[in-house]
Amino acid sequence: MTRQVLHAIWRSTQVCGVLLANAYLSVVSRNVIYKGPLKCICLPFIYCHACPSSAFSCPIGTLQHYMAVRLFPFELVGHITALGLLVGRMACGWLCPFGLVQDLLNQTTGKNVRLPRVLVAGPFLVLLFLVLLIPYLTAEHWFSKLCPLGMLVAGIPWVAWNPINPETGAPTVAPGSVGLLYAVKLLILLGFLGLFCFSKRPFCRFACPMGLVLSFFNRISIVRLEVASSCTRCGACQKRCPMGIRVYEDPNSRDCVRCLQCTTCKHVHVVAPLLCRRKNAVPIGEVVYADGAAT
Amino acid sequence: MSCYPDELKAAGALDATDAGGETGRFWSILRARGGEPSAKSDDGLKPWVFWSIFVVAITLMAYGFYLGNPFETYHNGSTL
Repeated sequence: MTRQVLHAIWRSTQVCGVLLANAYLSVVSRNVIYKGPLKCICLPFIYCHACPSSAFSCPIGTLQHYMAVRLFPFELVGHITALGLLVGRMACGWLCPFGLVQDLLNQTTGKNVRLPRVLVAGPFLVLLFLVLLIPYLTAEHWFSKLCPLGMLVAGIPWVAWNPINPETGAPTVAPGSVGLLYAVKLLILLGFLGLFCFSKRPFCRFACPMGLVLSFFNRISIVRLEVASSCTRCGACQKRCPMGIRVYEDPNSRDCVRCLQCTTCKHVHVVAPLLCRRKNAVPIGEVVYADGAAT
Repeated sequence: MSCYPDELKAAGALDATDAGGETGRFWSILRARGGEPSAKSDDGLKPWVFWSIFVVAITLMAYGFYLGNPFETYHNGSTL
């Protein structure tokens, strides 16, 4: 498959992810958020469940809610584990709408500024404090209160649209409810949007708790990447990678979102060793030359 | 043992003055013997461990659905 074809399929699938996340188009006529049975199904990527057109729930929103009501998230743990075991972080690369936003904004400049290494602690801190600990202690959804994606797809649309809620007869956003927290959240969003222009997927690498959880499955999932020994380390894979990973050094890096753009290089392959046997590769230490001499 | 030609040369496994003859022969023999060896890959879990965890995950999912929708008390006020 050529690079252009794979890229077109990838972008199309990302658009399908946007449509999937925004499947509740009836909100235009009904003016209220969807609360039906589909909302008990989590998307395989982060997406605010309070978005006007959202038909499914956000896995991280669900997790923090379980913490807030002090219940164990059985369905969510099973859901994320099964997803991670099957494809690792592939949903981040192929479906996540926020990933698409980051990719498109970064394309405008094509830059990838190196950010401080210490920021890799970001997703751990967000998961531990904003998603688990603080909601558990305060019974408040603090991740949602600060999430830049929530601001982009729920906070801004609701305030801009502000329809009359047919259930209450009042505006959806009550007068005076937009305050300091809204401004803080808007600043966080603007900061991230600016960062997206100069760095490759910084939210995925330094903030996203969903990506963090799924990243631990990259090395053990069914779908994995493999770099052949013939790789010359030319760096073409790194240039194509939306995360800027040196694929030839660590093809199953925790940062890898499995977009498979690097597989357009003939040295990088998708493998599924649990489903099909590998090619009969020769261990490097046991190469025998044609004349019978062993290495 | 490394599998990169330049590192092999540095380690003395291949003649450093050989600009391509020995190296090319090295790779051509590898390919002729059934494919390129894996330079960078991960072995992952043993199949029975993998599938056991997978079955537990599916069971947890089913049990979670049986317990019901957690969103009865979830509202959208937290986004503002």
